[in-house]
Amino acid sequence: MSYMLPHLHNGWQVDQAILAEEERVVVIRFGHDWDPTCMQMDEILYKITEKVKNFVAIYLVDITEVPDFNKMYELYDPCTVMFFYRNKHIMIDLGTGNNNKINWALDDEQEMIDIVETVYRGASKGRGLVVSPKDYSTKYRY
Amino acid sequence: MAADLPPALRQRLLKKGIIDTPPSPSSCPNAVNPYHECTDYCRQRYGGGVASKPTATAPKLPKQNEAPEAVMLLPQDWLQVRDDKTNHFYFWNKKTNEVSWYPPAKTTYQPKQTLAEEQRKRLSRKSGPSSFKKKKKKFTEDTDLDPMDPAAYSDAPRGTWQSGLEDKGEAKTGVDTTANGPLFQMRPYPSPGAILKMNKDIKS
Repeated sequence: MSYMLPHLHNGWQVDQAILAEEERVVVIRFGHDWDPTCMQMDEILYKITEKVKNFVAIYLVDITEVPDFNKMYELYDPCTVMFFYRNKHIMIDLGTGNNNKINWALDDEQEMIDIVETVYRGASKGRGLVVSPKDYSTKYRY
Repeated sequence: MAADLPPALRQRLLKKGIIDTPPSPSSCPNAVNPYHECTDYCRQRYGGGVASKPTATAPKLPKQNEAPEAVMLLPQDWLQVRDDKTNHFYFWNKKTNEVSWYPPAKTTYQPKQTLAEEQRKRLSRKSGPSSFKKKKKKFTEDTDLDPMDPAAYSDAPRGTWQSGLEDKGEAKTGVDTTANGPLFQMRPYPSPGAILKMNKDIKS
């Protein structure tokens, strides 16, 4: 369902998309539309778009088309979701060891809604790091 | 006729095969060398050639017929043999079949320590503390590997002076990613705008 979500086609657009939002969290999915992991994540993102549109803006970025951030954001995974608020990267402690991003595909809408809501609440209070409502440190075990 | 030609011209004609090469003098000592071609000098010096002068006499070979004194000092299995062609002596190992023009090194020979030397050594060992002061402190060289360096005890490659320095355009979150829980600390990434600006700076 990646064609249902807005794509950003160059670095400048990514920058502007984040700068343009003053009161909303910007969720950016870095990856490829053809990637199975991304397809799964895009599906989740598309499903929540309507529900969270008041405080979240969701964009997709093709990391082959826009390679500007690959090095600095360490975009080596098939699918990476990052959160920005007022031109600031918001970290989230998911219990995975990587607080910077979600680099796997969630399989539940509500989990994603909870995460973005936590990010929004923390970020609007000025926090740079929020703690995820669910611990994903065991995601590979179960 | 060929003798009247200037040497440079003769060389060129010889090369083209227009004039015949004069026979090499039989007495030329280099004749045993298969790669040797007798030059005018050979003919002049050792005679027999076209350009030879009547006064040129056969060269005086050094008297090699008598075995040199070195034969007395030869190591085991080495023999001195005369080469018929050159009338020189060479050395031959009858076991390994090695040959050498030069006398082989005497490997089995070991000098004996003289009594005086031994005594001197023993004395210096006794007077250890007195000579201790003279010893200069040895400084370790820069090339020595620090035993605490990971390169000394693991497969890690040895770093250069610039390895580990901050590199522009690299993510600075590279904390220990294996640390988890409260130990884990990570700095946030810069904003996309900052990255675009940095990329521009690096390019220019």
